[in-house]
Amino acid sequence: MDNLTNIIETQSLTKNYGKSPGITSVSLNVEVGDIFGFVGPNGAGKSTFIKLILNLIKPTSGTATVFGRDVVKKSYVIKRSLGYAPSDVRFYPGMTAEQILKNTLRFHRKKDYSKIDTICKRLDLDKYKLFRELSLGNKKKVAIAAALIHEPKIIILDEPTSGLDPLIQIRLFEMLEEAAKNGATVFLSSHNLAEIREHCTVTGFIKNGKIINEQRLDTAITNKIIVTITAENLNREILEKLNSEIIIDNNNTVKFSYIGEIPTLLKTLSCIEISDIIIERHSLEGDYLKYYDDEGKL
Amino acid sequence: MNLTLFMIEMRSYMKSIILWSVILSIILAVQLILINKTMNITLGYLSIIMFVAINLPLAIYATKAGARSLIKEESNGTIEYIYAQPISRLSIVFTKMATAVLSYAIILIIVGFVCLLTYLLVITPFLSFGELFDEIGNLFMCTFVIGLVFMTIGFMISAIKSKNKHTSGTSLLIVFGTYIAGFISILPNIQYLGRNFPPILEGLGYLSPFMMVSSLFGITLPDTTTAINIDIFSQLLVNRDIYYAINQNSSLIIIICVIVISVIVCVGVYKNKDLKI
Repeated sequence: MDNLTNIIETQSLTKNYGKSPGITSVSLNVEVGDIFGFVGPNGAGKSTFIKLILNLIKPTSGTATVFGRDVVKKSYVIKRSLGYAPSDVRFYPGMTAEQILKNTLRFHRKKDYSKIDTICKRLDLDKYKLFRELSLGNKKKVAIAAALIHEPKIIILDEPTSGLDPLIQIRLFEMLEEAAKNGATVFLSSHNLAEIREHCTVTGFIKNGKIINEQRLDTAITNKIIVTITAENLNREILEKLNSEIIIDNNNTVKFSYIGEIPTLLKTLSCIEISDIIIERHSLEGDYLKYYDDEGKL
Repeated sequence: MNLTLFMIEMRSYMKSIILWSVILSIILAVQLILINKTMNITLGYLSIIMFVAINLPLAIYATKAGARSLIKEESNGTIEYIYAQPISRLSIVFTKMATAVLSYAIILIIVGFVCLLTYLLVITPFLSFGELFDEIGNLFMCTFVIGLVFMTIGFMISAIKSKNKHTSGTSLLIVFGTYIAGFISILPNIQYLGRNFPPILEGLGYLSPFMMVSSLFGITLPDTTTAINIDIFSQLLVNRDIYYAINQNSSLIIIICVIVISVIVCVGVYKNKDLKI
């Protein structure tokens, strides 16, 4: 297990709900120490993927491994080193946060209950309150605390920041980054592109149950720029000479991504009679629009 | 079996254990005391009271406990928490079975203890403590096994069902259905009714855990000539021969088969089930 590069690895993982597909042929690798941001609109298949990894549901076909172990056959072994916080948090309503966290430690055969105070303090959580008396945000904190308290090697969080105030969101990512530095791998799904860009090392886009892009944010984001040009009789062949990828092509206006030297780009574009140009750093928002705006209009 | 889940489960059973123990103890004690006022009560009458007032509600408890145990975690969403912990589905099923059986046993022990106390303190003693303990113990062991059969059927339902909805209704239907089947099975042998019913109805006894388990434990009810009028229903039951209409060996085989098949189906289905959250 120590020599593994990929902590989560799926091969053609498919899940159908009757005739309707959940996810289709998803092959994804999450490496040790990564903070993987899983992006996609509602119903894209993010939660289905997570539920398959947790063996809450069974795959229709394909395989998935965590720590090199099959998620169906060795699920309980995997979970010795796994922490999970669901998006919709529903714990035992008659238990206090402290009791829930104590039980989590007991499940993992850990007896250091002093961690409960530490994590509750950090997340600003009242450990004595019954779960049913907690607000939505505080319920989320209990789930996050339960996912982190036993110091798992893989942390899976389904939309962890929804319902959390900005201060706790910052603290959460501090905790996740600390865990990653200590060798843990984080897999989180989110709608918040800003937090993905800021805190994740890799992102995967999912649409209609299929992975449509996976990129390392540390290199891809800093080197890539987005160019929008408007010109009469725009010659697309010139753009093809560049290391570019057209995002939107709309008559006289073309939006494309570019990775390379800026002088080379400007020199190439100087051959075109441009009436308007916008050059911006690549953003996840741009990618998101590219992948999910079906109309593709500028 | 997982000890942490066991403790969580037992905690969730606390309220129902107290409620059912208190209510059934009161029912049993009051019935014994009231009957004792009119005549010296024998253990035969206790078996009538057990049959009518205790076995039926406890069978409902057992079926519901089984039927709700697995599906309630899915309906409440707590299965997502449980299943994120290092515990296998097999362990979840067996832990829940153990806690359901234990909760049922605790209720029976409490009610049995109250029954024994009522006999010793209020009712005119006609047996030694040892004999009384054995007789009451036998009656309650019979009730325990009846509950066990219904509970495993409940567990099977819990694994098969995808929603908690209608669980109570299904449980009641099963218990009352088999109870009525058992009741119909004894009609051909009741002298009081003139033995006017076709003997083929006796076969319905094999659909009723109440009848089959009672026959295994050799529990008999008092003769009609000495029976007191507790109610019409118990009058109809009063006949020494009613349980011997079904074969003990066949009953034993059927009961073992029902328990084993229910557990196998429950485990098999639950292991491969897509949990609904």
